[in-house]
Amino acid sequence: MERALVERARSGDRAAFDSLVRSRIDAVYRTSLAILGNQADAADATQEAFVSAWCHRDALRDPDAFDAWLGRINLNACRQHLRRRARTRVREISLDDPEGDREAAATDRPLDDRTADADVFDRAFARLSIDDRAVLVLHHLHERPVAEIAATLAAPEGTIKSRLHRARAALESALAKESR
Amino acid sequence: MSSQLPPIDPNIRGHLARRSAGRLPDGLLAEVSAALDEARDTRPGAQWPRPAWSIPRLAGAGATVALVAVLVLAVAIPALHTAPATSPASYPDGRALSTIELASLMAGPALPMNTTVVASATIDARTDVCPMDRYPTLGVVEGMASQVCVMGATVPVGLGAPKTTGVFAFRYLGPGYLGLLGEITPASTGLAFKVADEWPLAGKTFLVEGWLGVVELTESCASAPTAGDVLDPNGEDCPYADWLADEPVDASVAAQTGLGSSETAGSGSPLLPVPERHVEAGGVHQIDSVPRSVGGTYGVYVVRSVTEQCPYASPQENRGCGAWRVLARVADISIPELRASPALTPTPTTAPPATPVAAPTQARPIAPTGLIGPGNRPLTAAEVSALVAADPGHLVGRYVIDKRPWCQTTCEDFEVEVADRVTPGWTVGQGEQGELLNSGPDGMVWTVPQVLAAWPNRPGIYLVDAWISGASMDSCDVAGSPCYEVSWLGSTPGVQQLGLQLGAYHEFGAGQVGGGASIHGLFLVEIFPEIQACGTGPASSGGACAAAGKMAARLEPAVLP
Repeated sequence: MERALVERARSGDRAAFDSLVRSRIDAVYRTSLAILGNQADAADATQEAFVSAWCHRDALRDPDAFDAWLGRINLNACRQHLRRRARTRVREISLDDPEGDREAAATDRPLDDRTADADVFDRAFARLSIDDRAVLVLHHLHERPVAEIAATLAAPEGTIKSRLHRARAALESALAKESR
Repeated sequence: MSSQLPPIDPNIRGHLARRSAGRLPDGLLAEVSAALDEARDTRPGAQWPRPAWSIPRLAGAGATVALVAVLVLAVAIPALHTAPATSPASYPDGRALSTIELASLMAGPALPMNTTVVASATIDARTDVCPMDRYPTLGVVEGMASQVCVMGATVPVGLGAPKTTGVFAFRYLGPGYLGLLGEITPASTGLAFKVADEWPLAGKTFLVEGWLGVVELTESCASAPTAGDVLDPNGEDCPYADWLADEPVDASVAAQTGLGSSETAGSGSPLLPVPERHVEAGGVHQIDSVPRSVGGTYGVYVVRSVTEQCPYASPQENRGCGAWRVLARVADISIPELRASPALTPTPTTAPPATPVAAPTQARPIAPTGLIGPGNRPLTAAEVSALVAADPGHLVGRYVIDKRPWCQTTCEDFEVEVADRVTPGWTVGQGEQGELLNSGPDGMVWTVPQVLAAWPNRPGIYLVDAWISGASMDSCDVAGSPCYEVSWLGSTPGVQQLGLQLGAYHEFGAGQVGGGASIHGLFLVEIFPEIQACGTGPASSGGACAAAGKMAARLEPAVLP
């Protein structure tokens, strides 16, 4: 039934697409909000994601992969918003940073009390790249299976584990910096 | 490969749940529906940005622009007119490259990175081609001799339609890659505006022919401004104020009178050439190496009307102020010699662009598990594309070491070695394995001791020149789950230095684990940040199964078509 709905939407059935929007807008918005941390930006990204999905619906090859495809589009929308917003405030964390390396070595430990401060966490999270944010959100918040994370990030499944490690290490490093 | 992921961290989960909590904004569903209506009504771009965001900002833009102009005039120096500069070449003045000229340009020798060109083109909106980590794909340019992909840093107003024809400003990102600065809104009298003209508003991108100069301010700067993204440069240029004018300022006279310094700002004299406009050009000074000249630097500049946070406004203030942001200086390049044959329109593919589409030939044998270029160099994008074009099935499931755009943070690291896994449908790039760690300034092949010295602080993808052998113990999981047998890489035959999962010796060696000869090769290895126990059972139950990495492929030189 779901597949049929996606196929109808892909063929240009607006009512079918509206139905898909209604059933997924909450999830898309919350993913955007977790990544961007700003309601207005998240709403913009959500809207852009659905419009882009509609405009490029013929690019969807596998109807069963609709959610991962939509997730990928949503990530691109978030990425564009990050570029437009506070270009100089968003910084990438270099894992080549020796300081970051030391912190990265402890990435399997639970986050400690430094993260108790929501503001510190948000500032640290804002330092991460969009892909690092996304992989953390998809795994730690949404608990998506590795195959879906891989499809959303357009990455092979075998790299998701290392990407999670990298993202976690970057978050640890950012938290250390923001906690000073 | 193992698909086991780290356990959910309750602290991270809690913070992410907090960030994403709350009700769905009222009216968002209706706004999405309205935007979809506009998209369906073939008014591309009308859906961006959301009306609730854009209208109040644009309302304040005009007044703010006027205010900025007045302020700049109040601090500028007397107008000093000079003779016109020497006439530049016919391009980029007055016209854009034709599609055929653009095709010849893209088919010719590589341009300097970030070169800006203006061209008439049709962009076929595609998002499933030309993967690049830094920018999303907007589409491909029609009429090119080989595939030319258009990437974008910002939401492209006007590119919502399946095909959009117009005049576009592009930055050259590499062979087969253009970055879209924007679709050009032409002036009523020609392609480029004069400074004295009425410039477009509302996020439009346009060309201005004139002189870009600076006034040095005495204010202190909190920090040195950064250039920003090459497709979306920053405007801030502290401690300078930037201007565009239809005429230059005589530098010698400027020096005598103190022009260019805000010391003269209080003189009460008009400062700059008239007419002039205050613009934001900090990024373009850096990216395009436009000198900060008191007298001004002639050029055809790509300018966009932007709305940004007003100076001294609180972050909650949502109205915004308008400004003119200089995005690029159009390069003064020679128009390429036209080809005798008309440009072709290749079918968009996901393969790296800028490679002639070759006719299929006889099927090639399945490639080894991994390919690298002759002499252990990375394959070029053209070589990989040629391999794929020669036989799409030849490389499926295989790894290739190639060199291609990878602009995660800045395009300074424009080309690096990347391990790609070729997958059906997506061909090269979508399944990228990751960036290779370099062993030195010019090297990408590691020895085992080098890897061990770098481990564990540098987890990642390595190319390791080593001997592979099998471990004596090939089982480690008492729970019955699939067990990751251990193979070893060593500097010499039979030496066990670097433990690897996946029973690589079976696949890449010469026999059963624990037996057979060691095999020398070049291996693509992912090194873990920490030693990982094999399988799903207790690590101690299975004995010596801890591994520092896992094997992806054994590489062999590609036989190029």
